[in-house]
Amino acid sequence: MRRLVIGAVTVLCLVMLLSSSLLAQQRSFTFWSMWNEGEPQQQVLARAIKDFEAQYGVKVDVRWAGREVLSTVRPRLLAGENIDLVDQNAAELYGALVVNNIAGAMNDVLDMVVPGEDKTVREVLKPQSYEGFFKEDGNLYVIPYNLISAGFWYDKDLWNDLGIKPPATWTEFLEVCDVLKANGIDPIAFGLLTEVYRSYFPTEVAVRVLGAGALNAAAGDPAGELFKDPAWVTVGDILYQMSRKGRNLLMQGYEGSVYPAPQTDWVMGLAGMFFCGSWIPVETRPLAGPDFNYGCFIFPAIEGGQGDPTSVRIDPYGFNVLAGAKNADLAKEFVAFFLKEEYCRAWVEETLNMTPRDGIPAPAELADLQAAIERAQSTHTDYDGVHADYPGWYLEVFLPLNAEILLGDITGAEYAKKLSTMTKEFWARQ
Amino acid sequence: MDPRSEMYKNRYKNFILVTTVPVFAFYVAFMIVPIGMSLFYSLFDWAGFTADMDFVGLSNYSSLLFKDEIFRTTIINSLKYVIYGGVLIFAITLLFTYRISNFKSKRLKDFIQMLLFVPNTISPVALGIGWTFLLNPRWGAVNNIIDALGLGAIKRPWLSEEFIFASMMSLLVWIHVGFFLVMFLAAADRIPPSLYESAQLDGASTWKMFTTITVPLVRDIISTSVVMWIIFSFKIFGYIFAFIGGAASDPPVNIRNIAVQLYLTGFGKRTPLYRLGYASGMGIILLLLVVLLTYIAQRLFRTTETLEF
Repeated sequence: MRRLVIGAVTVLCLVMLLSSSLLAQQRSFTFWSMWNEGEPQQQVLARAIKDFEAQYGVKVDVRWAGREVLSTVRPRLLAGENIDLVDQNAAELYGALVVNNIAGAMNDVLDMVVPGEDKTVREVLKPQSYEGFFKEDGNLYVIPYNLISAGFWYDKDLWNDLGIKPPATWTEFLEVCDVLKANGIDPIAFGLLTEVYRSYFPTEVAVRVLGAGALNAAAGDPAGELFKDPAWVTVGDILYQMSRKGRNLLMQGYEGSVYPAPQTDWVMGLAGMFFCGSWIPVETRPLAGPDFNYGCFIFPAIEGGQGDPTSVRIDPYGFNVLAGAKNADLAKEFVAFFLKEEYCRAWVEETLNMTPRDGIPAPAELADLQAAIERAQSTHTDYDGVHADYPGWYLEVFLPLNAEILLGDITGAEYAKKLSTMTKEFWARQ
Repeated sequence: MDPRSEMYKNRYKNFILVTTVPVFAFYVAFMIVPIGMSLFYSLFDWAGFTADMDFVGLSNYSSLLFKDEIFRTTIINSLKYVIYGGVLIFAITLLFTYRISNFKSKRLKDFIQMLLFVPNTISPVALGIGWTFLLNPRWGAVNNIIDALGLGAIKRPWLSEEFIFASMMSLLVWIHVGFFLVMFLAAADRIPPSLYESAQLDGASTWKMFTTITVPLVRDIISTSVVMWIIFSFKIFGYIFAFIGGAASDPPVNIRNIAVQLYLTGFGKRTPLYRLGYASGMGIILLLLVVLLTYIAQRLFRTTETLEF
């Protein structure tokens, strides 16, 4: 009996040793994701991971860390833990990982073949979804899988009833606002205290008047000289026009309206349009009801402006394989794998978002925005990149001045002047 | 010496040692060491992602105290929460204590106490968001009630930069009055009725009895409550985030306290700052402020008299 027990224990030990060494040989990578378990986005990703594991005989150690994923991975990276792949909004990836030199270049992924298809990642992705994210070093640090853009949302049925169409120019935009006002509707839903909304208009106006990249360049100019370009006065004048002391285009009480009041007011028909991201249909559908007819148009062209009138704001969510990742190749294979048509379709259908992959129609609510992206000759990034590149400037100069101009407390000329002086002071403090 | 007495003395020493050392070790490991580490990190320019740290000496502190206007505003806000909030909360709590402790019906007393305590049992997020709905400039209940009363002239955008601090304060006062009231009433209840009966025989009014008997005899609880409020107010966090819609945005500077600014600076949130060294400096300043204010409060309420009743 004693021999039998010793024999059984020995066999068990050998089996365990063998299986652990086999497991050690199995290829694997770690993925820290921004999604939470149960979210539709997580479910699509989890399905792809399961398929990837089955098809490649690998193990993906995935953690659903939620939106604070970059803060969560920070102490682990510091402690020397190997993290191969992370996902987040591109601006946050750049602000956290690229700035601290721990993001890995993703250029080679563009030339990887999407598994099971005869096209490369570069060939399946819309160029607009990633081209604006190459840094000066020639590297791309994000491969998008969720295409987020922004525009003016409106209720197509309401606008049809009022006989108005999406405006193409600022003059037409003002005419549309006049019609809305004449019908007792505030033209634009807006909440000044929600900081992400506060800088939408200044960025969009700057892109139309001066072109993409001008705001970013001026923010990074320590002398503040670039803000002395008279075109910045034009930017200020247009913003002033929008304020309560100008043509009063923003909804009543906007100075004290906080999230989610602006979108609620817009859906309730108290305001005629609302500038926000492509997540708005998902966010407002429960209140809007199934029959709400979503329309969207990008910020109109400004007459005399030097910026490309077709430029759309692109703010994708995507992957980065960290610079020190031990399993970078496998993680990159997964990135290419996730861009397979079946997952991109699932992304659109199950999460009601747009995919950066070409040839897959967006959900009906996002069709207008997708068309605008496909027409775009150029793109601009989230707040023209200042949010990620110069976060301190964004907080200390841009946000407070945007509040002042959108309240009409300063004129366009004062806005431009203050941008220049405060930028100079900001850089002197650094 | 009695050998048994010596043995008990030794056992007592061992008991003290065994019970104190783990607590002390815990305190050192989870309080003193992190404070020391924060102090150390505050001397560096450091994002916290890698071990690369640039030694900058005291320049984080000089920036925080002399150059960083946003941080200066958050210090002022924190002090305003402590002082304005404290004055309002304790004045209202004392008034409620005065009214409620005079109720003859214990049931009514308990019911009102429970009613005022309820906000403390609700999640800060729900309270914060609910408050912003009430204060919505267009369809919020507050402006609608003002309208219904024919007082349209005093309608305001209560969440605008101008009024948002006062609105935030109203929420904090509403929540904390209920909390401190429970403590004040419990303290008032332990005062022997004979003291009030004697005062009544001498013709004292209820207000006189309140100010000369109740308040002095609950002074120790008031003192403890003030210290608690100082610590609470510096730690207010969830309410400030919820007040602006949670994850949708960073809270406006007008309502941020040091704790919120520290978090936004060190942990990125909407704007990817990730300045952990700089945020550690904020933490040290916060610690010093709490210690200083707690010391001042204790000095103010210090008494040599021992209350016995």
